[in-house]
Amino acid sequence: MNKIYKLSMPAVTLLSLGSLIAGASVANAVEGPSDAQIVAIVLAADTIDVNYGNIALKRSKNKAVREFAQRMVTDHSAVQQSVIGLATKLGVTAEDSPTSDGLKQGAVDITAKLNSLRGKAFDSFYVDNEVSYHQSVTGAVDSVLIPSARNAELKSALQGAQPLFLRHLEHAKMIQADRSAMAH
Amino acid sequence: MKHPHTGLAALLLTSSLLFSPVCSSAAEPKPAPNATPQIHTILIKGLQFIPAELQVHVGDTVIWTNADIVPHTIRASKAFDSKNLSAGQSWQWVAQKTGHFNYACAYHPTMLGTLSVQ
Repeated sequence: MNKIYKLSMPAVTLLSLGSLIAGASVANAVEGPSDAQIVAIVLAADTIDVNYGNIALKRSKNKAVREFAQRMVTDHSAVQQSVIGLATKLGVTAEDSPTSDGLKQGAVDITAKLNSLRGKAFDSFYVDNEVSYHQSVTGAVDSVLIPSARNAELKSALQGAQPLFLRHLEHAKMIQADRSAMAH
Repeated sequence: MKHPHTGLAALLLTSSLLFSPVCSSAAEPKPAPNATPQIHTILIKGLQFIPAELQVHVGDTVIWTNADIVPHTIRASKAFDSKNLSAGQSWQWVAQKTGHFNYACAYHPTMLGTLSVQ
């Protein structure tokens, strides 16, 4: 990892997802986010990673990074469409919450950072961020969103999406571990 | 008078000659125990190949079906490559030679499967 640009996911993002997990473990898990808030959280998380991916497609020249970024754009767009379709079917309107707001706020800082970097520094930061981001998201999905979902179809959709997020995490870790693949 | 068993003996001798392996050309392979080609299905779901390991025979057909909401591919080095397989699509491959084929999804490289063709 490039020591000059040591990864530090904005505190806002970590706190946002971390507090979601901590709050749910302290209180009754059933009292977690509502279905409407869950929809907003998932849509925010997907949109953010699609945007990160598009930045990487513009700024990275590394084949492994670009292929991963394209995958993030394609896959998270598909999840977005699926969630929107399901929410429409269920008559659920996405409702913002401190968690979804925190995600978006944190993304502003990350986006600015990504847009300020080039070459290996960009690739390292992007991949490291993807690892951290997917770790946080999969943790929140597993420990809060799935248990909190009240509608059975929404719960099932989240359970179906989790393997995708986990594969993304595996893929990001694979690139992260193979620093030579990111050498220009 | 013709011996009563001469005809039967001749029939038996003829039959044995017709169906004796000795009559088979040395170049012809022995028929496989299960000569009828089979169709096998592999489901792509939850970003997994189900089953991940499959044994088939030469001549069998393997059909992969993408039950995920995201596209996948099925690629085994130079052996086969489905290219993009969208959600809901299927792709088939006929095993034409024996071998052990490790394959993966080009989009999700940690998705792995193996085919053993006998």
